[in-house]
Amino acid sequence: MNMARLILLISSLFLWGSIAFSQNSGNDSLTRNDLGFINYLIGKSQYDDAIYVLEKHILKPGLTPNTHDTLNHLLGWSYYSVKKLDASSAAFDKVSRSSASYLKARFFSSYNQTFLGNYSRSAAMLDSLELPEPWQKELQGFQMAGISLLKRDTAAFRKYAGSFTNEFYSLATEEQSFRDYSTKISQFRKKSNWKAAVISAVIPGLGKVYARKLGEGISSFIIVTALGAVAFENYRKDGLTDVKTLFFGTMFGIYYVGNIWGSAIAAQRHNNQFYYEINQKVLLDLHIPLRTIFN
Amino acid sequence: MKSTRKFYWIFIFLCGLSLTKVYASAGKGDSLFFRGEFRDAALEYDRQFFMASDAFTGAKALLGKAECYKQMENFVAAKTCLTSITLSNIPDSLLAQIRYQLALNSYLAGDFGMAESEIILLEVIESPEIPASKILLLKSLTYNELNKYKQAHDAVLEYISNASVSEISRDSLRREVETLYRSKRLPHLKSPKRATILSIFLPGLGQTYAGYPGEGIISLSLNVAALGILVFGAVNAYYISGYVVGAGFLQNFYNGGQKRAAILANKHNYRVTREFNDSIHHFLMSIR
Repeated sequence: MNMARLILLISSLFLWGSIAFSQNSGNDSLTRNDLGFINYLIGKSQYDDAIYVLEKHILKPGLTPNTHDTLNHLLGWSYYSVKKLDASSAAFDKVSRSSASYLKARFFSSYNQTFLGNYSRSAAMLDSLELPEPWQKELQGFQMAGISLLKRDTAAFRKYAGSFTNEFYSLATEEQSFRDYSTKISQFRKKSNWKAAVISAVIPGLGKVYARKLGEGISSFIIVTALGAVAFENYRKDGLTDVKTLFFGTMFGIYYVGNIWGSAIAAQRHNNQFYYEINQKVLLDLHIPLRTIFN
Repeated sequence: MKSTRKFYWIFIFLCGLSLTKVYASAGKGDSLFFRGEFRDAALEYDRQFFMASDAFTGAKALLGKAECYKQMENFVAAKTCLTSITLSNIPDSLLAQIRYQLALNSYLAGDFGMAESEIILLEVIESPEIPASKILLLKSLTYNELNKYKQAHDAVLEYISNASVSEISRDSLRREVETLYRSKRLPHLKSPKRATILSIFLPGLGQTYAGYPGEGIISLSLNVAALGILVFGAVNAYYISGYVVGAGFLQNFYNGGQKRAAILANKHNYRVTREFNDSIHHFLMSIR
C-alpha cells in the first residue's frame, strides 16, 4: 500500500466515523448534539425555547428509557425555572426509579407541590422515598418539617425537628431558621378582628393602631373626626333637617362605619401578613438546600 | 492503480455525504424562515450558533435568529440577540449587516439613542452590503424621533440626493423638504417645569400655557370655588365646615392643578412631535 492510499484510507475512516457519530445512536432519535443544544438553551436561561424543543423531542418514537428520563428531567427543570410548577411536577414524576436524576426529580416535584399548597401530596411523595444515605434521610425530614410549619402543625414539626442532626453543612443554617420560625409562630399573638372593630367604634382609627397600622389609624381619625365636626357644626347652627347637616351627617356615618369595618380587616391583614412572611421564608429555606445539594 | 482509483471514489463519496449533512443543517433555518415558521427557524439558527466552529458562522446564525424575531415583531429580542454577537474576526460585509439590523431593530423597539449610535458606527464601515439610501432613510427617521431636526433635515436632503428619481422630481422634493422643515412648522415644545411654575402663581395658567385653556378655566374655577367656601365659612361663622371643606378642596385642587399642568405639557409635546414626525415619515415613504 503506497502512501497516497494509506492517507485516503485514514481520511475515509475519519469521515465515516464523523458521519456515524452525528447519526442517531441505535434506535434513539436524540443525538448528542440535540442534548447538547438543549443544555445550551437551559444554560442560557432560554427556558421557553428549551421547553419547546424538549416537548418536540419527547414525543419522538424510539427513545430509550434512559433518554426519556433525561428529557423529562430537563423538562421538569425548565418548567420549574419558569415557575410552571404543575407542569414541572408532571415531568419530574415521569423520571423513572432507575435514573440517576430520580432523587432530584422526586425532591423537586415534592417542593413544587409544597409551593402550590398541596401539602398532603408533597408529604406523600417524600414518604414514599426509600433513602439509604443519612444525608438523604435528613433532607427528607427537613422537607417534612417545612411542610409541618406551613401547615402550622407544631407537634409534627417538633417530631421532625427532633431528628435534625446539624451535621450537614447544606442543611444546618436552614434547620436553625426553621426552629426560629417555629418559636415565632408559637409566640405570635393574633390580632382580634372584633377587638379592632370595637376599639375603632369608640375612638375612630384606634382599632387600626391596635392592628399595627399607625398611619392608617391617624388618617382615619382625622377624616372621621373632621366630618363629624362639620356635621355637628351644621346641626348646631341649622338643625337636623338642614341639607348640609344631612349631607355631612351621612358622610360621617359612612366613614364611621367604614372605619370600623376597615379596622377589622386591618387586624386580619396583620395576621395574614405575618403568616405570609413566615410561609415565604419557609419556602425559600426549603428551596435553598435542594439547589445546593442537587446542583 | 485500479484499487487506488477505488479508494478515491470512496473518499469522494464520503466527502459528499459529510458535506451534505453540514449544509443540510445550515440550510434548515433558512428553509424554515422562508416557509414563515419563524419560531422554529429562530431555534434552528440558535442550534447553528451552538454548533458553529468559527465567529463568522456563529454571527451569521445569530443574524438569522434576529431576523426571525424581527419578523415576529419582537424587536427587543432581536436587538438583544444582535448585541450578543461577538464582532471580532468577522468581515466588514457581515459587520455592516449586523450594525444595520441593530440600528433598525433599535429604532423599531423605540430605542432611538442606540439606533443613532449604531448608524454612526455603520457609516464608518465601507461595505456595499447596505446601500447608502437605506442607511440615510433610517438616519432621517431616527433623528426626527430624537427631535434633532437640523440633522434630520440634512439626512433627508442626502437621502433625496441618493434617491433614484429624475432631476426635476429631486428639485421638487428638495423644495418640499425645505417647506416641511421650516422653523415655523417644527414642533414647539412646552416645558413641563414652566407649566408647573405658572400653575403655582395662578391656578389654570400652566394648563393654558400647555395649550389646554379649557382645562385652565376649569382649574381656576374649582380653586376659586374652594376658596369661596373657605371665605364663606369664615364670614358666616361656619369655621369648621369652611376649613375642612374649603381648605381640603383648595389644597387638592391647587396641588393637583400643578401636576396636571405638567402632564398636559408632556401630552402637548407628544402630540406635536408625533404629528410632525408622522408627516416626515409619510413624506419619506412616498419617495420610494
